[in-house]
Amino acid sequence: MTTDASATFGDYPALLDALHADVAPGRLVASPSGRVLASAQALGEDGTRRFTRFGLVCVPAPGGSARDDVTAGRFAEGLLTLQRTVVHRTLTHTIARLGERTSEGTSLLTRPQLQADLADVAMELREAAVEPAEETGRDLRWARHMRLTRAGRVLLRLLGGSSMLAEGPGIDLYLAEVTGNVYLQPEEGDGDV
Amino acid sequence: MSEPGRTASAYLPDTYGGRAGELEHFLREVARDLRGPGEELDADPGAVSRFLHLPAVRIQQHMLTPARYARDRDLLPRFVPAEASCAEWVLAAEWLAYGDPGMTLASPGPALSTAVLRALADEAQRDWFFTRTSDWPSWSFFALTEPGKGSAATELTARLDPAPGGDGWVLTGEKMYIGNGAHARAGVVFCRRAPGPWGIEAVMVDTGDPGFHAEMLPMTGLRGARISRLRFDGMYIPPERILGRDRPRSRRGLQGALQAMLWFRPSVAAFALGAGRAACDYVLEQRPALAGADRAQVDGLADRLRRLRRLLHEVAAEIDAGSPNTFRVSGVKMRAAHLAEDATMLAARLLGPASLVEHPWLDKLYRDVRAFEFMEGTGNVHRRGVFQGLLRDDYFTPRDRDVRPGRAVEGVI
Repeated sequence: MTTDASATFGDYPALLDALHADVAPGRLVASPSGRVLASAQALGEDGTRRFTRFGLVCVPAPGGSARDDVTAGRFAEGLLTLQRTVVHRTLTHTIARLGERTSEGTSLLTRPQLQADLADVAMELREAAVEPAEETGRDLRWARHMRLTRAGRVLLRLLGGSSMLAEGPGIDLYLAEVTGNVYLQPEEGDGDV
Repeated sequence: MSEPGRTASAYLPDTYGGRAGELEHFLREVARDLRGPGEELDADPGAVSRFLHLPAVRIQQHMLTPARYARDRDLLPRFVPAEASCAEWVLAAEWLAYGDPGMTLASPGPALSTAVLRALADEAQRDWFFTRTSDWPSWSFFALTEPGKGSAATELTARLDPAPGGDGWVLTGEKMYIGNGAHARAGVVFCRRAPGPWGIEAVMVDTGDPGFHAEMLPMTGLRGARISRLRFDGMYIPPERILGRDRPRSRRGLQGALQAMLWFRPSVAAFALGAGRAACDYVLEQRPALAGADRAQVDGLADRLRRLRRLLHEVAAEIDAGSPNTFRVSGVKMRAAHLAEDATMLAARLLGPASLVEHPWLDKLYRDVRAFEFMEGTGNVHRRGVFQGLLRDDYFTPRDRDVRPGRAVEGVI
């Protein structure tokens, strides 16, 4: 695995915009509850209306937003791929950072607990990358999102205080969690649709 | 299962009586005032200046300051103690964080430095420090963590060199993730005078002195704590500002850091428990009809919070009694930080899709609680601490080993 301790963070809003453009060219994809989450730039003046934090804006889905099930399903799968990308990038960064740090004269990466944590995240990522054998419903996507969320949080714990920096490795994982909360979380009683 | 509408806070046992009971009642009332300001602080970390009149904002300074320097005696009830015990401060920390953890950590006062002063300072040094931090409002900092080094006390690299001319010292180095660092009037800095664990010193600094530089770091959570990066660029330190300067070297710098962190660590657990409890209560306030498996999850989390709270009060009492068990303190702190994360994640799920957008306070808490993992040592460090306790056969208490039938019933009653 290549390591990149100087990775840049904070591009999740741009990546999300690109996903909108890829799945529904010229439109934005609405969440099942009728909201759109995108960068402030993508939403133009609407971007001043409802802020989450750190570059993403949530608004009621504008007229013309994509709402059909096929597009929503493709977008949801794209979100999971995006989250997996972000977790993977953070794993790479974490290995690099921990490799640079020493304690009592040895690399932190020699600690069995850290090795086990990193290996668990890597295994989760591989599993998440497998194409589903059959069409995935909302409940299953949510479960996949939560597994990736927990893998990401393992990395944030390993990264320590730097994971709380607004321009640090935690920001994209947080935004992926918020996006999952808006697009992937099933309504109560949705069932596996 | 408990009856619908009952909040997680109502699950708490009646731990205290007498003065502490009054204190808890007061804390419960004033903590309510912190939630709205906490949201404002999240948007503007400097907004704390608009809320300095709130009793809850004055509590930290009062409780962590020795009685003869405490100036809020007329503003707070008589049962709010100055120079609080660890158990009293834990109680306050939990309720204040229940109100809002960001506001709690943004409040003026001596904060963690008070524990170092208690452990190491002579009368003149106490006078120097607390005279400054007793001015209202004034903040202080505790600077141990360094860039790339974390909070491992024995590995710090900030240097304390003899001053040219031989009178006093010169401080050089950087500190990272220091709460209120960029706005403090005074603070305690840990630095290295010589190699080895006994070469560590704790020095008091006045941020108005030449050579002190600070910048606030933009954070995702606990933004009100105004977490900062500090740089000491050849800052002159007079000899009388070395804490414990008349003690043997083995009983000052490093020992002060360890004692301070041991004293303060339970309150980080208390912050986490308070925030976790707040998340559970928020769900029940927003979804009073919550039932079935979802309700059972909230009940289960509330039960874990209640149990951990008992353990927290036990370790705090052990510290006050002068017989702390560092391994148990580690276990409680680590578990509390994880519970707080679990509680906010559960709340986000139970409040439905887009809950983090629709409930800005929950979104704030969701970000805030992650910081408790890193304050006073990460979870993995504390896990190792618990393991060390197991190796030494000093983690479990006699109660934990008591498996007599009926003992559990006695424990509940």
